[in-house]
Amino acid sequence: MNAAEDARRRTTRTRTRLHPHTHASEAGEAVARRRSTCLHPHPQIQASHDGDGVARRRSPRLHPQAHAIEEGQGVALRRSTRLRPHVHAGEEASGVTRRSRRRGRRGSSPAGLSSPLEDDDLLWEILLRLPPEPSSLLRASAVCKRWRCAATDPRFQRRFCQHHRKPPLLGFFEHSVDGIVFKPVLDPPDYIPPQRFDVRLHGIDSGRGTGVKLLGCRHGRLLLMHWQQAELIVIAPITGKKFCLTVPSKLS
Amino acid sequence: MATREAGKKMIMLKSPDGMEFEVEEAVAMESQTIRKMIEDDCADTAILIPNINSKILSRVIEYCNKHVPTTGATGAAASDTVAPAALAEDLKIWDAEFIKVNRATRFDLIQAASYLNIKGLLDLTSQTTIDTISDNSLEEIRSFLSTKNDYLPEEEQTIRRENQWAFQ
Repeated sequence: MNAAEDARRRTTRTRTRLHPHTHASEAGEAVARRRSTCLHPHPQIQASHDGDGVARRRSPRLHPQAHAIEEGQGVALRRSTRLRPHVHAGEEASGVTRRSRRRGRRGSSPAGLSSPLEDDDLLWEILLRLPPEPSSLLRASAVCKRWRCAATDPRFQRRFCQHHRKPPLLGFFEHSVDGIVFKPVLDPPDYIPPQRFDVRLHGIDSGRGTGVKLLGCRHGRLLLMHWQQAELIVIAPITGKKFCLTVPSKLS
Repeated sequence: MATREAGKKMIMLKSPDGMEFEVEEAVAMESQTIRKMIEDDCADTAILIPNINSKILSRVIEYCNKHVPTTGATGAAASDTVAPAALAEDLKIWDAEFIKVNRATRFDLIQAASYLNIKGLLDLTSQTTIDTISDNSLEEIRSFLSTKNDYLPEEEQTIRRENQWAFQ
């Protein structure tokens, strides 16, 4: 199993690099199911890198597994002193086709409203241009209920991602004495409190002696290894989703 | 009605208040909606543009005139000596001047750009609207856009509390 091999190989390193990303579309889906936490920041949590200061090359790849393999093979890393946001546009292509359909509908009733903000389609068009920083949509959603409906609609969020392409860097994950912690890098109002992405929210204690290691971070997802339970854990901190994979005994 | 003038095909656009605008086909085709009509052969006679009055329609045509690819336009700055970057810069400056209109006109332009499906104009008008409100407080946004706050005070408090960091 590539991921497991990868995991084992990576433990020889002193620190783990992180490249988290999350798709707004996914965030949106999660959001739609919840009543209250209707908004997640569109922007992705981003990368952190360990001591060697290596940044992965940009990749529009969607699946974290793909990255795990790539990491395992140690392929094509590019040195860089800083981390860059990853492009998501290609990944969000699924949302593209909606546009023409919406246009068609809009065409049947072009105007006649006192403000374009009264037309949901036009409201979308305008809100799409909000800055990609995480506070934008949250603040917009507090303006009125219609704005909130728009900002929390998964289709809108897909288009928002598509429109902005390059998500801002929210921060890094790294090991500290207290376990895995999130280090935000944006200034208020886009400063995401570390506790918002605390892995303990997912029932994971990553402190010293717990055997939980941070293996990687891509596309808004963290890959953790729980050595004592021989388990690989994938967490999407923005959406709160978590998946566990038991490592086959012959590999562990 | 479609006519020919100096080798260029012309298209007649009519606003609901009875004004007629004769524009080059290439200019009219900046609008994807009109392009479709032309391509579907629905543009033999004058094209009626519903719900877009002559004042707004003339502004839209002005925009299209400026933005039509220079090879096909006569009025645009079609000098071969001007670098593309300089042309883009020139357009940017022109856009910034063009969009210096009051809120009502800008909203009308958004609706027209949306109906006529002119992406550049929709980008320009929508982005300008967002730029004017993005640094404002919620109260200022509501008042500027005449948007009514339909949250109960406690609902708004809950929203702010859920992601308090975004409201600091």
